[in-house]
Amino acid sequence: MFALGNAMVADTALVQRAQANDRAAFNEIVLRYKSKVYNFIHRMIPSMQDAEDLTQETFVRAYLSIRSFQSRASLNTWLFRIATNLCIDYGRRTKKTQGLVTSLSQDAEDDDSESQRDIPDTDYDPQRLLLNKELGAQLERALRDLPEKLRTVVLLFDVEGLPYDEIAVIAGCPLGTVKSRLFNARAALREKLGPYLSGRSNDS
Amino acid sequence: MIPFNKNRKSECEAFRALLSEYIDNTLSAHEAWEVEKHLTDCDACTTEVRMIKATVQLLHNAPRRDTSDTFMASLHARLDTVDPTIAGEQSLLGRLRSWFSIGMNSFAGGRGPALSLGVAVCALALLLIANRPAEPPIVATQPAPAVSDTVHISIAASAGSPFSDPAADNLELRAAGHSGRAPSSL
Amino acid sequence: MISIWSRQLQRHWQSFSRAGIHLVDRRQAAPVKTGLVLAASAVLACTLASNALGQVMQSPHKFPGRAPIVRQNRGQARAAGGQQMGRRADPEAIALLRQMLRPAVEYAAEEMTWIAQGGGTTSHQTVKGDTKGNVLRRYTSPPFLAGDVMLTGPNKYVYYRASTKTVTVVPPAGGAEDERDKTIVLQIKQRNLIARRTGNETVAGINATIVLVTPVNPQQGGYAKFWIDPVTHIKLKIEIANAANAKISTSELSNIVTGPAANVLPRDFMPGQFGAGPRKEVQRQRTDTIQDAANQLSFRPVEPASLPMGFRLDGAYVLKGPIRVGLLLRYTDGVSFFTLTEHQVGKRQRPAVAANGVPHWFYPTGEYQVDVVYRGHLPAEQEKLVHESLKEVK
Repeated sequence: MFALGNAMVADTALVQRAQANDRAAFNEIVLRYKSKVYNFIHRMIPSMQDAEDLTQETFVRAYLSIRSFQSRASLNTWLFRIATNLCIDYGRRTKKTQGLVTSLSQDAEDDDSESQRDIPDTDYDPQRLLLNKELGAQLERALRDLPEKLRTVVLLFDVEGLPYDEIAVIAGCPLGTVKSRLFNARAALREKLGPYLSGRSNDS
Repeated sequence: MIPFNKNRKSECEAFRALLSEYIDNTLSAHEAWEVEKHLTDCDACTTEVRMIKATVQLLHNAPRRDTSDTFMASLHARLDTVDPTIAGEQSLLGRLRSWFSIGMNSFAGGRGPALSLGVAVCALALLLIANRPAEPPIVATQPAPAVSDTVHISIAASAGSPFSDPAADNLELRAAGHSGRAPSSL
Repeated sequence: MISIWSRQLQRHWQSFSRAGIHLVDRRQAAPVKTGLVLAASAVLACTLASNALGQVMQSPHKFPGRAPIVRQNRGQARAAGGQQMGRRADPEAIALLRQMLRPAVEYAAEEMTWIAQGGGTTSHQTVKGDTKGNVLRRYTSPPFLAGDVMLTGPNKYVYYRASTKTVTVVPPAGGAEDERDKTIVLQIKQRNLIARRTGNETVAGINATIVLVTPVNPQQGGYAKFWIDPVTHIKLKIEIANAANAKISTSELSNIVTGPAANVLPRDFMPGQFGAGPRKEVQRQRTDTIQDAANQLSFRPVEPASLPMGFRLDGAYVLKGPIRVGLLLRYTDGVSFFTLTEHQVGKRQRPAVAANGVPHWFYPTGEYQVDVVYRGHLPAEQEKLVHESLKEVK
């Protein structure tokens, strides 16, 4: 439909074109990053519906300030930075209006309705699948119970696979803080998931 | 069964903090060696390493979710209503963002100056966030309206009629965005 | 009473003979004058009636127009025996309109455009026109238009936006033919519209002939009024009013220079004059029915189940942007028009009104919403009718 198609155009080239008002180039950027950003946001905030809105908001803000983006910097970092800030704002806003109880019940519904969008498990052992589903749910719950700062770091590192230094920029804190938050997050998760993990501790 | 004494307990505490990085392979060679030496003697910490690894594995394999089918369409609908040529160039927020990105590059370098810059930037950001209105709109006012494809098509269609005034259509469609008021129905 | 009539008769005679002289070679003025006496007497009653109407129309009235008064006079005119007036074609008026599409000389001028929207908004631009009907407008004010250039002509639309240095081209929707001529003839032949001369008025120092185009049905309001230079056929002024006969817009020329002094060059009407900057071509494809267009969309479009009197679908355009496909529906009664532009949006999206001032109507379906943008000048009740009668196209 448009010229970019399958060509492996580097991010920097796309950014330059987007800065020159090329909507198709910006569209390509969105296609490349939206799943990562959404995947991050939907675990940062409790509501799935708002997660998609915030993901859109991330890209709208990016669209508006693309001209002030230095192309030497990482697009990934920049987008996640915007997303993180939006999640912080969101958290502040909803803390005033929502109780913790309501957000939890919303989560339960959301999980059921959105489960069809999960990428399916390739292991067809029904026992394993049962365990997986339960474990998966426990993981999500454990993540949600983490304080926001810890959750941010563990999602960015262990789920999205970003390096320490990028996370430091995204979260706006020093490298040492990233490491200690990561340690604390993992420790907290391990505490909660301990009973479920003992059966799987053979892969080390 | 190795006797559990006070020394060992404080030793484990010290090593605990490093286990996370040990798993990530980001410790120095010397530190990694120290940890491994401790692990050969300590069942508790070995188990701990295994558990953390399992946790990380879980996170690695956590189901990935993507946006809905209508995401792209509605995003572009929103983008149609904003004009990027203005925002980001003049606003304080825009200038701040460019400052952020400069800050990003300096973070990659030394820690010291980066730390102070980071603190200053965080402080400024907090100040801005604190002073911002509760629900900031994406674009409140625009000096110049965006000219979308449909505007051009509307004017072109009018220009094709002998009984219309394309100059008036152009002014109307462009002014609507400028004044922020809806076209008045008469 | 009779003295008033005779005075009017004299005035009409004078304007008629002047017009007659312009229409034919000066050398044959004398015999033509004689011939005109006979013609003049035959149409005298009609002329007087239309002049009464014209005077009401010409009286400058600020919007909103005094609709009831105008309608009353028209009714009176009809009652006065002018019922045939409403139907009888004025071939001179039609001829002038067609000539207006292709002036006899090149010209350069200043143009002021006024629109009722926003409590009254004005733009100023310099204009250049050639004899093929191409018009180049360079905007000088207001600030958000300054520097922009709009190029229109037979099947041509090019827009240069100064702030982004981008050139946008909208290619012709149908074939390469210039449809404007056909439109005039067709509209009048189909008895949708009626065009008639309603007198003279001085515009930019030129004695212009006024041609008024209105829907045939007197129940339908609205008009397009043209002040045309009978010698050069330049459109000196245009005024458009909506179905409530409220003035929507005017564009008027001043400081007109014609011929070689206008310094009009062929390159003035070529897109190449804007340099080698970014260029964008807007793809639109015209279909005859909404159904044909709908087959190319990812969503089911909507259309109004009820239309204001006299309105019909003029065209459906499939809008193929680089990302999304949308639909533009154009409705017209021959003089007035409105458009509905439709796109698919997510079901949770809220209408964005504030951003560009254009109201978005969201039509919900189960899975998504259809974002409908209305642009037009319908009176409030008619706009409401259109909005509330939207339904999905089957």
